[in-house]
Amino acid sequence: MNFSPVHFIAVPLLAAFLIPIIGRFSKEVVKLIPGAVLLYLSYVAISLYPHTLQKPIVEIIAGFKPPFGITLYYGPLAAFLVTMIMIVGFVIWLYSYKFIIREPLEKYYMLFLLVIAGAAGIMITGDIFNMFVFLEITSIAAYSLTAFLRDKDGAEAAFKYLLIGSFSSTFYLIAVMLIYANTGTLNIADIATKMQSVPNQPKIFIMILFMVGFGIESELFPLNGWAPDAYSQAPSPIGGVFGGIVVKASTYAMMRFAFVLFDFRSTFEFILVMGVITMVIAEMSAMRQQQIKRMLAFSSIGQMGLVMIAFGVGTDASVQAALFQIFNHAIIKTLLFLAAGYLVFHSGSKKISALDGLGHNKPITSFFFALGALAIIGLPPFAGFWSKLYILTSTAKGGFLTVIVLILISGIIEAVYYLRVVSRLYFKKDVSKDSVRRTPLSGIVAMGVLAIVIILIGFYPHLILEYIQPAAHDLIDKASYIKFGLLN
Amino acid sequence: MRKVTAIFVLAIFGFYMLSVFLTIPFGEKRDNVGQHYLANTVKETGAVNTVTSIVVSYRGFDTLGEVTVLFLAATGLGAILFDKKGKKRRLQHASLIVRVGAHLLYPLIVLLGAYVFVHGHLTPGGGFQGGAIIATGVLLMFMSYRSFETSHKALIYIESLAGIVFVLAGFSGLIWGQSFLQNVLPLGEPGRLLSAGIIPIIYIAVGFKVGAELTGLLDNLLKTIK
Amino acid sequence: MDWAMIMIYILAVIIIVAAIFSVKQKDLLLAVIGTSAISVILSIFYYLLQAPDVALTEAAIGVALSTIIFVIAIKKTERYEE
Repeated sequence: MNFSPVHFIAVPLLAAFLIPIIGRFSKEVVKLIPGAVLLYLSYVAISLYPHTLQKPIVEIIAGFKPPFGITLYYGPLAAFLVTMIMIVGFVIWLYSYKFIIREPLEKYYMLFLLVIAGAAGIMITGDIFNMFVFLEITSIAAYSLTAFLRDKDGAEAAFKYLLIGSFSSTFYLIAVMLIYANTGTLNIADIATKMQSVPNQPKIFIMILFMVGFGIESELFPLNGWAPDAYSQAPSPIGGVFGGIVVKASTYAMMRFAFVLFDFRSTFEFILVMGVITMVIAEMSAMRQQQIKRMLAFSSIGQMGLVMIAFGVGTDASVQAALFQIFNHAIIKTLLFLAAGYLVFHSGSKKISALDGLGHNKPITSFFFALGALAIIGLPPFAGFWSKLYILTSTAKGGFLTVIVLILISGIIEAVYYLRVVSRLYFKKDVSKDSVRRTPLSGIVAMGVLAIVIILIGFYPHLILEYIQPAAHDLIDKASYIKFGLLN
Repeated sequence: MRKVTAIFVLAIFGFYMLSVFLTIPFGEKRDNVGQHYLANTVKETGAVNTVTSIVVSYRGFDTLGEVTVLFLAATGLGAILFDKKGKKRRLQHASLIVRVGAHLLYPLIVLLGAYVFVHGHLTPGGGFQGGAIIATGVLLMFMSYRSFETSHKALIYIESLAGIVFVLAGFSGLIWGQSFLQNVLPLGEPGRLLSAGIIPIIYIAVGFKVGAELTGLLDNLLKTIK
Repeated sequence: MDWAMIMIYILAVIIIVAAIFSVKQKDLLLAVIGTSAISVILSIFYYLLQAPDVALTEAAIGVALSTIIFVIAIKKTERYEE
């Protein structure tokens, strides 16, 4: 049996169903299962990559050809994103191996596997209703993981997320119903061919429903009220999963529909404007935060606003810049959340003022946090510099000069609040009372892997750029998506 | 003031939605994928019930996803309501009529549920409906008798094994056929119990899984009442 | 006007009355019973629209299981609103 894209979904499901049985015999084996699965899937993703660069892999499920059956469309863009989330997922598993000590452990690993499988499913499916199913899987696993620590704030954050997330699923389902009623098919490539004949009034309503539905998951303003609470009350590795994996999947879905189904000019302008508003408001809110994980959450929302701006400009160069920024943000934000997890653990409180002076006491963890902070601001020679530069140049070529001014102002605000934290880490007296506990090796290795990637991409950005170009062409080129998606 | 704005906004949204929905001709025969399914279901899948053949065969991948969603809901509930010390249910015994009636009805309800999911490809119904009916029967017994216990271990085993059977049925399509979840068993004669390839196998697995899951969920919830 | 249409109109009126009743009721237990009444009538509607599978599912899940989960939630919190 050779590798095929359906493994990305079937193997985590099989492992998640096996965990309760194995959990009755040995708890240590249960902790190792997600690591083995994610390692295997990273290997599958890397070995399938060269094939996708020649021709996208389209896999048929259940033996019925499209548009009567479900297909999985695994092109260069899907390969890029799935490889990224599998490797980031493996690193987060390595970190959680020693970080999560609260019972029930086996349920944590089941939910963790399934949230990654759901995000991978959103990225590779070629069928609209199938995407709804994977959106549900990702959302419900995310709600349960937000409430995992079972304290009062966690329950409130999870409840908010659940209430708003249900709206997202419902709006998306109504949009799917309207599309089926108007075009008669559920395959995305087939809908793209039939979209011309749909009259304007339902088309605009469907577009609104899609944008709201996926906008809630991608944390656009004003639909992101749930996000700061969910990121800060969930366990820290799960904050990394939300910011690095889940939000990327829903951004991919929104952009895929925008390019393939609704490609009128006003869609892109709308996304550009919403991206600008999101970025400005999120960065300004981040400056006022007193707790470190809430600050990181607002910063994550602001960075995704920047990605939306780059997608909204709509040219080839700007889409490449947006994909580069997605990659950088996944790696850097995950590193920041993982480092913040141990900083909060050692200082005993979530407030920024409790982090004073930890740079002397816990040098390694603080170093990783400082590295992530410098990278996300956009300082050379780290990876964040290149992606911000590309976004600025492509926006300038598009002619949106006010947008550039706003991006630069937000960059300055970002630098202020991140460097404020870094200076408290290193240049203040140590107030922590804990000098005995050390950061475990698995956490250090996990953060170290991410840090090495950041520095490597910072010095040699063309290593990633040669993979981003085919991915960007995959997103923009509607005709070849239709051609390959319908197996012509 | 807030209520008035809320009703106003809802009215506008509802009116817009109604006007969009009214443009769809409802009830006519239209040219869509569903017509192809209706015309070809017996020939391609062997199941007489079209809904079952769509749910399990044409869109079996979605059913796998939905089964996972149910599994996630039960797991999430177990994770949030987790309590180290096992508790017992503290509801009171119901009255005599309810107790005797439940005792008589319980085996019939379970039999009805089993009938519904075994004959999923022939009569209306299927795995989800059958599993829900069985869970309702068990709920009746929970409400009537304080001492009615279901073995926690057995529920976990049934749930996991049924899920594994579903995924392995899918992989068997990859190994012996060309695609995941393809029908590799012979289709047989439509209308008989042993027909339609792997559809009865998948639906029986789904019926067991849903029944065990909902029972475990209700047990978890009922144990938290003081 | 044949009997089927008359029955459908009567059931539609009952559904709307039950929905308004559930919203305005202060005793949450009665509101939940109103919701399960809506599920029963909805299940009849699905059967009249020639979808027996959906009717079975709505009857099994909406009437019994959904109601009991709400009742447990009410028992652990408060019975009367405000």
